[in-house]
Amino acid sequence: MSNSLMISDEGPVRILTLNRPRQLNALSGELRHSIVAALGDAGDDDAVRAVVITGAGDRGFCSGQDLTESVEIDPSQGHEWQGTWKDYLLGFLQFPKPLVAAINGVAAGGGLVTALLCDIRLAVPGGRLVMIEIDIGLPSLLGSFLLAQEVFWSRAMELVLGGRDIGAREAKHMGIVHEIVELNGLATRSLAVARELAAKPPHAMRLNIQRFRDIRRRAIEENKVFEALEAYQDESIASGEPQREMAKFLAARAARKN
Amino acid sequence: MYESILVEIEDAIAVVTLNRPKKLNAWDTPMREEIKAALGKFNADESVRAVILTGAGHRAFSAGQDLEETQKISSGDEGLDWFKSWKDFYLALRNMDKPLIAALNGVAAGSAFQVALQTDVRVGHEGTRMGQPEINSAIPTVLGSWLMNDRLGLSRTIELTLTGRMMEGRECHEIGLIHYLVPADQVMLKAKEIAQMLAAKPPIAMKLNKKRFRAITQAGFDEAMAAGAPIQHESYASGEPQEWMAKFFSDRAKRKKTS
Repeated sequence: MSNSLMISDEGPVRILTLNRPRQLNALSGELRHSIVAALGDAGDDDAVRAVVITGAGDRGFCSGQDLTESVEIDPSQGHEWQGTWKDYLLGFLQFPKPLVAAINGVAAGGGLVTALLCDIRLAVPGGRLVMIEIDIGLPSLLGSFLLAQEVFWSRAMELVLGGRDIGAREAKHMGIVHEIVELNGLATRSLAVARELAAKPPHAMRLNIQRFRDIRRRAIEENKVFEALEAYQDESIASGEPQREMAKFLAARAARKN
Repeated sequence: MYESILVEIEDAIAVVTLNRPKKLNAWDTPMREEIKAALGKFNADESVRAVILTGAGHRAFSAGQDLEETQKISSGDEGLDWFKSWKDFYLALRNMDKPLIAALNGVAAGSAFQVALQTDVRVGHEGTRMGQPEINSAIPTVLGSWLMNDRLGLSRTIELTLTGRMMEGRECHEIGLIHYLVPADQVMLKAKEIAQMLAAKPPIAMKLNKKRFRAITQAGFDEAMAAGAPIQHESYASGEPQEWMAKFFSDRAKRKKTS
């Protein structure tokens, strides 16, 4: 069992806690794999009626792709790596029960994608949401698509092109976040929301969830999002830009830490 | 001529009033037939240039589906027939060539919320609560999520569908579902003012704009109708809606006894 994901149950609610607080719960390949496996288990377990996803610590929900891992990826393994992201996405799109994201801090890049794949999002007042990819020289393909589905293209384009981070209040105004809760009440409140969903008629709930997952999946297929992911990232990596920008980003971060 | 609605025409503006105030203007199939007939008639009448839809009384625009009717649905096939009857009702709204204004005098829940979302301009007040509480009666939401998704995006649509939460008028205004938020006693006045403004516009351009919006939303409507059929069939075949509605009625009866 992996330590990077903590799993616990509160009655009918399963809580998944991303547990790499020193890395702001960055998504390593191993952590993504554990999340998909945990969703599979929770989906199959009749006693589980809703799931909460949150991050350990008081700073980050999830900072997205673990860049220390990305810089190691050989371009020849690019498609294989993208395949693991596709599995990650499908893990959420196949999940038949309500998903509540308790955003306890920053949600960046793949971390924001993770939150957007949940059904209901609660965030702390200091939570920050950002599509960070542009600043490391990568296109946001999943992120822009999910954002556009959630809150339309006008907002998605601005957030993706500028990589601007928005606070929880602005995110709530846009409709990305549904509720703002102080950090010390977040765990309790997200559990209460999940319990409320768990108490709804399960058959109708499953049909609603299935319908929303279908809407998402069909749109992803129609818009060839996965195909775009491969083609655009190939072009991007062949240009050498992400490697340069990521190295700059990591160097700047190391300098800040020193 | 009608039993459950009132109609009047004044200065090119037709007003359809849902008139079952004791039932919070909830509709059953016969009442929906009347609304459909009235809208069809006004659509064909050249002297009518705008239509206002409102509810009788102070409490509700409409509570949506009359649960006493759906409670009687006892099989998946009956559930499917009931679902299919909505297509013609919604087509009557969609096929209007004239602007349709909702004067939301009170709550608009479930299918009444869906009807409100299919009008062109919505006027409400702070007490105009709106939402899609179907999940609480174990009825899955398909047409409602299509309508909400077009107007709100998936994020708000999923939250409202799964929780069945009713929004206050102020929230509806903030997120763009109510275009004009006015004091309760001015809802009809404001709706008439807008109706007059729209009635004075060139009718052919108006009709072509309406036609264009209909075309833009057609694929989504067709897809939701197609997707909804097996979902409603599966839902009623499971027995869950009947069970939860019975619970709803017995809880309500208990509440009435104790109060």
